[in-house]
Amino acid sequence: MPYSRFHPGFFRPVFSPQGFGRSPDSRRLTKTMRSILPVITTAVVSLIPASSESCSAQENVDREQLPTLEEMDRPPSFRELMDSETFDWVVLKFDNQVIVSEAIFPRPDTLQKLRKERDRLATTLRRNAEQTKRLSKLRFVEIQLPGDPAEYRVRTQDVREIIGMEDLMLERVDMLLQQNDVSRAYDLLRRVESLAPGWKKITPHFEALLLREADVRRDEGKPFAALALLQELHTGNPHRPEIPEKVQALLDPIIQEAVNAGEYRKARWFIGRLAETFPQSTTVSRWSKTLQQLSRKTLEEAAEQAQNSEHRAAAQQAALARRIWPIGGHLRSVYESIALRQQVLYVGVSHLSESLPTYPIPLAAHKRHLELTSVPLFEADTTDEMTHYRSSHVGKWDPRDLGRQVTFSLRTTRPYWQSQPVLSASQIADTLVSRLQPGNPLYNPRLASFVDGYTVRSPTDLEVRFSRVPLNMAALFRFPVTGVPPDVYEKPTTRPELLSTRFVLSGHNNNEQTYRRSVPEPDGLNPGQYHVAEITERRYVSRHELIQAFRRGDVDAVPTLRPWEVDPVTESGLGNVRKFAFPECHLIVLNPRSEILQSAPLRRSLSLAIDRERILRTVILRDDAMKYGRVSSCAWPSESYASSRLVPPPLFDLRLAFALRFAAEEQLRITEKQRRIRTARQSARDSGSDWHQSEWRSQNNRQLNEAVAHIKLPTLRLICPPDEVIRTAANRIIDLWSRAGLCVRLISPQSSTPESGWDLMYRTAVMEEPLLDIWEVLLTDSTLDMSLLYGYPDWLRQELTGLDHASSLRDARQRLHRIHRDLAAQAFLIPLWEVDQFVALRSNVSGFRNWPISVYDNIERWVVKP
Amino acid sequence: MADLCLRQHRTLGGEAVRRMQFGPLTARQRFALAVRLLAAAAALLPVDSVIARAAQDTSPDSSVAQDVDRESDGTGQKSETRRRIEPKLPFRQRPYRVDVSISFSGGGRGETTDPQKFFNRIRQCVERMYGQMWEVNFRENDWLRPGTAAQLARIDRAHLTDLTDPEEPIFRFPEKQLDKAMLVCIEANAAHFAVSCREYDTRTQELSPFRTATAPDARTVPLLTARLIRDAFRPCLQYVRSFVSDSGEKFVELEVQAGEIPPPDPSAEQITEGDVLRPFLRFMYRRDPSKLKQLQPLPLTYVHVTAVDRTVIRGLTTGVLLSHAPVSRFGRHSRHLEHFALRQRPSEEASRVRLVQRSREQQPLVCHRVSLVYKLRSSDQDQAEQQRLLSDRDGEIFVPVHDEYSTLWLYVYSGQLLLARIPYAPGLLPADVVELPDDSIRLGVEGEIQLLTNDLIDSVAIREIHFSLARRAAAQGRSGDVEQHLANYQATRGRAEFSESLSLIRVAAVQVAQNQNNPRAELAVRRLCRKTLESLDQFFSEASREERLQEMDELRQQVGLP
Repeated sequence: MPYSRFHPGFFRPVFSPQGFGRSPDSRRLTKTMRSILPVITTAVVSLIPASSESCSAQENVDREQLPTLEEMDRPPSFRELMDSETFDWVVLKFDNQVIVSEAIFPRPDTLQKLRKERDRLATTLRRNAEQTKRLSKLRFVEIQLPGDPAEYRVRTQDVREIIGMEDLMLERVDMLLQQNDVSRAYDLLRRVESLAPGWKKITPHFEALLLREADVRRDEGKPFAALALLQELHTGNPHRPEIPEKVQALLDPIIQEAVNAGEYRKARWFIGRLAETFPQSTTVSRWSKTLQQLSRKTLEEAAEQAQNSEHRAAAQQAALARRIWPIGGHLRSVYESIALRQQVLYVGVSHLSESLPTYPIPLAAHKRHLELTSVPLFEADTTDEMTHYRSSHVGKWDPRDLGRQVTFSLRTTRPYWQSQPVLSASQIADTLVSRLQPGNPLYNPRLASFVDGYTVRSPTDLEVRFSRVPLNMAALFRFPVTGVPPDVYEKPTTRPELLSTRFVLSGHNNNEQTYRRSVPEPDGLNPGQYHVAEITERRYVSRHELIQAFRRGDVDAVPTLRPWEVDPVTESGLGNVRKFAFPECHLIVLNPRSEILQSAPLRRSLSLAIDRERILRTVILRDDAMKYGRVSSCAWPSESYASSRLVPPPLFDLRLAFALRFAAEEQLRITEKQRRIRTARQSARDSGSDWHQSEWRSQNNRQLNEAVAHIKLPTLRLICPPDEVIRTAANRIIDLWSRAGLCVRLISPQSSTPESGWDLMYRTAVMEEPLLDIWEVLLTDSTLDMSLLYGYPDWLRQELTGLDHASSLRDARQRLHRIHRDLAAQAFLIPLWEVDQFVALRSNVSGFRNWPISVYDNIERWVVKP
Repeated sequence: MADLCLRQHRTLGGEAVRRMQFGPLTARQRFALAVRLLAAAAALLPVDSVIARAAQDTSPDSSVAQDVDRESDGTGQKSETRRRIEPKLPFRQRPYRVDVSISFSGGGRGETTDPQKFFNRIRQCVERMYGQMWEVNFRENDWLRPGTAAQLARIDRAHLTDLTDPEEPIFRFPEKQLDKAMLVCIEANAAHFAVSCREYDTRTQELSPFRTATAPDARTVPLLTARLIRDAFRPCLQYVRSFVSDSGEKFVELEVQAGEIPPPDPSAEQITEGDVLRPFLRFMYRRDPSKLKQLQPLPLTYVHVTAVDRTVIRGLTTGVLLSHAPVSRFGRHSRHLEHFALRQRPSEEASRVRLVQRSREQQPLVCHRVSLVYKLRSSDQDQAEQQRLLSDRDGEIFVPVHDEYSTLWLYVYSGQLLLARIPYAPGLLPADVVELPDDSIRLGVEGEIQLLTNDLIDSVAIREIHFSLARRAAAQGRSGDVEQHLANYQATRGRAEFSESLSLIRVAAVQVAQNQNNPRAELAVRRLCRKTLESLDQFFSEASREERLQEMDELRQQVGLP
């Protein structure tokens, strides 16, 4: 039985158009009523007709046929009580004979109320006529037999009692409760409540019902439901003596079980609930004491481990101690020193990188994993008009020879908080070798086209010469350092591995991934100087659970808030909400290997058929004001220097989209038409007749069109990341496309999906540097393979490859503005919208940047306070 | 390294003399050398230049054999005292004078320690292949030390020529003394022998591509060396005539040196059908026609051999001259011009061809569309499916060797324009450079016109939509809607607007072309814009406009509009 059934509002009477309790079904008489009806109608001893005519007609009534109270089926069955119309049993003093009548008013407790009124009127000194008439009327009980329109009177003095239907129902409720049939008892009580709202006799029965149901639920192994019922009962009547005992009996095994299972939070919750209701309970004091002792003991063990420099184990023990019972008093400082030494950041996520299906591009979980485990030589630091970069390894980089040469001076030491190893110039040179060598899996043709040569000047100095001056040198060197670690140089077969790491994945399962610092912070520091040592990403199946976990404090951070979650989380005051420096751009990219999408009308038709604003407002943002998102015309942030203000937002025009789709289909048929024309020309030549193409076409136009009518646009395949909001948006887009006559199917990413297994891809992108990043987004390719551009027009290809040759910011801006215009016009990618990104961090987390570039920006300096 | 050796010889006259003693000099040459050394001592000339000149001047195999006694007049000037003209052997009967110099490193001699024996074994193999076609001399290379494959691969023309005096360059292998020099390196590694070879042609002053092979056993090294020498050897041909066949096709005829001397080994046949010749022009001195004044290679020009005469005139070869230029200089008549060609077979699986801008050689043509078209002449039909490539970030494409077609055509496109049509023989040289004109301005205009065309399509589609809606509204008697749709119809962009946009595009591009002093681009832009304007005129023709106006009037009348 759901808890909501016990809500007070549940007992409100139900009204129907036919009136209260007057449904056609309920009008039929029950079996009992039918059996006694002839008796009632033929013989009533003291039945006095309401009119003289009827009185004389009833003189010959056989009074011996009335049933006695003992003979009645008391109480009537559940079904009868639920289905029949309201009736009452009038019990006569003579032999306890019973007359079943229709509802007698006032009710319930009819006789008592009539007598009370009669007494009141009788004691009234000056009665008016109406009162006098009423008093005389009160000497009788007016009844109406079922099925008989006539009214009868029975002298009140002849009536022993009137058993109302409500009383009978309560009797049946009692019986049902004895049979543990709580559900039907509840239904019956509900009907009583609807028949006699606020009747005082209902409450004890309801309490009895709650008690009985609590027992039933407990016996069924549903202690939480039982507890809820008992608490409901306690709220209604706190003075019932059996409740504390029952609650203690209920909770004691639960708490015991929770403690045994190590679910201390659960145990504490029950203890707290019990203490809230019954503070004097012995169970509360007993368990509180037990858990406090256990917590103290665990913390002492943790302190011992901390002294042995087993910081991770100590932190785990201390966290356990805290979970067992909140730590206070002098033990608090011990706990804090242990927890600060080995800080663990819990991050709530929807997907883990290790359990995600293969997708053609890195998804958000992969990016988080990469950000933690792989540190590029240069990484984005701040952004204004352009993005500025910092490096953890290079201390100084000074361009010389007008930018044709740069010397990287590497850091020889690192701050204590930095978790990356100190690298040498030769290690970076090794990385350059792999990036510049064609055939190497890490080969970067763009970098190779820029770099003319390099020289290792010293273990800390690397000189790189450029054949062409790069506009943003640091952006070109955004790759991690790989090589053979120094300690395994003895093994010549050792494969190069990642050297520039920040954190390493130390363990994972379906629900958690744990990362640890690759280089731990040293011992002996002040506890306040330590930073995050371990990151645990916890997966939550639903967004609701994730936010609940954040509210409860199970997780310290939520990497990306949905737009509609931003304001509630901000207003909750649980922590800080930070906006990312770059918004996330949503777009649909086209597979460069898809031949059908080389048709410009088809691409433009796809773009024109999307109602961006509506989908953004209703699906992505769920906000009519569109506070955290906007329609976009490009794949990079609209505030970027690369965005041209002259390019208007994409249009939504279903009619034009339909027309262009039609044009694309016609374009598809041209080849077949041309083939048929060639055949006709050849046959004309073979037969020696003259060939006039225009004449032939005008004569055979209809046949030609019919012959190619079977050629249709194929069904396109849209691949979409496993995100429910994005999939909803994608489905909306597909609906719009179908309205424009475009057939598109949504497919799920699978490990076996080949590169050409999709035509369109819904993706999100965050471009730090559009000048360099556009390639990867446009072609969904990180190898910078030039052959993927083959389907593009030559002029656009030249524009794209010309970006590498930008010589100044002004030049780059002009080139990007032109590309922005051309891509939008030709729909080589379909921009949708851009959405502001927010990260939520609980107030115990500090050290993060105000405008983070990415989720774990500056993670090495984050502090998680216990 | 080779350069260093040359310098050492220049300073060590005695060593040079000793070296020459082991060389192929005859008694007459040694005598001439002694005279030169005396003269050099008197005039303090560099000793090595004297040695080299003596060797050149006293070559017994010169086309005009000279028996020269030179004497010093005290000022260092030389004067000829006597000249004896010997009969010249016809080119087809003239054997190759070949010098095979072998460098050893890491105990490459194998089980034998006597180089002469080792040479003899290689000589036997070579003679079994070429017989009298070659007059060959074997010796141990004493300047290419230690003689590794990498060292041999690095050698270029500069290592074999002393250009201290550009007017009188000194060649390590003078043309008058040798036709071919075979540089061989044999390296003994732990598990195998690595044999490398390059050929140097004295008349074209060009080194052949590097070839290498490995032998697991020392006993197979001589045979392997001989095979490598055979593969590296590039037979020489001389232009005879050009003619037009009965079918109107143009051919050239060349004769092969020593073509009338059949090789004992059929695998050493000099020319076969399908071979590719690389032509050179040799400009000779007017006063001394035996002396080379200027050598001009003809890049990206080939002769595809179609027929070889092996019966009547052995060594007479017929082929098709393939050139990207409309008129080739090869075969043009001139008194002091030698038309020379080398038969060269692929040594690589693919050639790296770099496309650069003609005006700026450092500027690669990135991401240009190139089609590999397999056919003999440019006017022929395609004989195999075209292969489509894109030039990479360095403007490079890799042209693979085809099993059936030794030559092909590279079609370089820029937008709708065929930018160049170049014959190419892949695999002959590891790398080539193709210079092409700058087409960026015209290509940019092509893009702008494409966008304009998009707008035009949109405009047409919108007009048709509004007109059909107006027609439907008229059929349903909704006069207001008819008026509205017809107004929308007329509000769409028309010919005037598109023409204006086109003018803007043209003016801007022409301005850029004029600023860059590029009349060709200006012309191309004007042509492109003119064609587009013609298309506009055709589309927005007066007749269609009148027809549509009439239809609109009919619609208005249908719903009672004025």
